[in-house]
Amino acid sequence: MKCWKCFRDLTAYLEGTLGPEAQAGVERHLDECKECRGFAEFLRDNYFLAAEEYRVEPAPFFFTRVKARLESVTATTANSSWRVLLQPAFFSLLLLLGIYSGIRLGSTLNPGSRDRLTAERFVPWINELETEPIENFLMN
Amino acid sequence: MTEEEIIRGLQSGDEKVFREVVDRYQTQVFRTCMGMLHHREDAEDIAQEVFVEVYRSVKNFRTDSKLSTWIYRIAINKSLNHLRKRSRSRWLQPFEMLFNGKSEESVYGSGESMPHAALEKKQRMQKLHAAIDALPERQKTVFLLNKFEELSYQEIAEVTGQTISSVESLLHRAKVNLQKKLWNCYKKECL
Repeated sequence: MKCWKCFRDLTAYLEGTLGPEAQAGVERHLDECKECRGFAEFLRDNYFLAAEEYRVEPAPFFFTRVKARLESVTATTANSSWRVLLQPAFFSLLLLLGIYSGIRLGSTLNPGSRDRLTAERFVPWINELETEPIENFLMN
Repeated sequence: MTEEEIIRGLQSGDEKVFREVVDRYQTQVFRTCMGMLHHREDAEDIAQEVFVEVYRSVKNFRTDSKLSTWIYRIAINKSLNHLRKRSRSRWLQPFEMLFNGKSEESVYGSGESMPHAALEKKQRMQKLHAAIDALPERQKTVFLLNKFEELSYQEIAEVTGQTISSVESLLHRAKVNLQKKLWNCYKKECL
């Protein structure tokens, strides 16, 4: 048997699912080939290791923890269903309040007082073109 | 107690029946989660979530499949979702390290103050998990259910919602891929 054939059948050989003839063939090859034998042992060890890890048990009082979790989830769901209803209502109310207070504030402003905030008063301070250049100032 | 009685009891919210279900399936569910996640705390957390989900959605359970199959399906879906979340959160780890100066503790711990043999075993386990985790999701699921849960092809097909022939094919590919990965490791003496 060639090494590649042994490699192909190795997992099935380790699981014992090959036919009797093929099983004996792989076994003969493993007796002769050191590298394949080494890999077969390595593979068996790893499968054994994985199976060992798998034989774990959950910690004691598992049901108690599940029950506690179920209760907390139920409480959270109840809270969140209220939140689902209350949150949009609260924000809508806040928005309406903002709009209403804006309108009220706008209507209470005296229209005459706006004259004081006209552009003529502010533009000279903002517009740099109208300010006197330093050269002119020094020349005069 | 027959399965029908259990389902009826669960649907009516009977706590005794729920306890019976948890006692009956906790080990299987925990082992399935453990096989997928390789982390005890995470596996226990997800196993708890599975039973909470069972309790909450048993009203929608259709009796055309077995209860155990349905529970397995929930366990696998929850574990896969957790794995996806975990891999997404790995992207954020460098930022966490940057801001907090520490990262989320490794699944395997630091390995300090561990006897040599235990440390070696732990390292082998890490490599083995890496090889199993590198399998595509469906291959990994089928492999774990067959190899460790010892479910039949028919049962795996019911749990994963695939045909028996595709389960056979996935399992074969999983074994070949795993063997190849372990061969590479063996050649490089990484274990």
